[in-house]
Amino acid sequence: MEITAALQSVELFNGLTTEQIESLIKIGKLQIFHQGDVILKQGDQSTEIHIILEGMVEVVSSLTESASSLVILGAGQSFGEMALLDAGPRSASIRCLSLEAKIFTFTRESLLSLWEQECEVGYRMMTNIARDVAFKLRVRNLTCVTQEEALR
Amino acid sequence: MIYKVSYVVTGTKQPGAIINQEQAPTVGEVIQLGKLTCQIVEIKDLIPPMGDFAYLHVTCEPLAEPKSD
Repeated sequence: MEITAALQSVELFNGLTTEQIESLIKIGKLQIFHQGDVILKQGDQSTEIHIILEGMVEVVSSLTESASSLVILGAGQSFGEMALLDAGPRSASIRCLSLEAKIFTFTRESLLSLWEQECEVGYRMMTNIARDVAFKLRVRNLTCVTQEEALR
Repeated sequence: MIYKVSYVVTGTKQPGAIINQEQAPTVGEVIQLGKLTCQIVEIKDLIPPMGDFAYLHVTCEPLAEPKSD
């Protein structure tokens, strides 16, 4: 798998040049998880942001009945962005759903440091993160409506 | 164009999914979401396209019971 090409199809990097993406690759790391692995644990204080290059993960909250799955995230999606933004505890757990998942990870510190040096990269990535969070909020609202209608 | 698609399945506890794909989804298409097979019944533009990305919200109906582990 060619990481530069994979990241070019990720919304988080929309608007960045190949050179800018390659400079980001230098400060991140590729990790491989297997089915059932817990990638993030709800309540933890970790602040990395993760991007799914291949595979699927599920978002699980212990606040829901029987710790049920909230949403499935596939290739091109990111998770952990809330802690990247506010450094708060993880709001949900993330578990590997597919047989294998390839995840690219950045630490909060390394990203913020690069964004201070490369303001255009920081502006574009923050805009992309904001759009992703807005997308997820809209989806959550629509999903709630669909589920309420199904219960009527 | 890359399609960022949110899937929601009606009438089940199946969680939705958010997936990037290179092909636009189509009504009537049968897809696999986790262990559930379902059929697309409605597609909406969620927000206007931006750069290389289009944002869609897809409603599905289940076709088969989830496979047991």
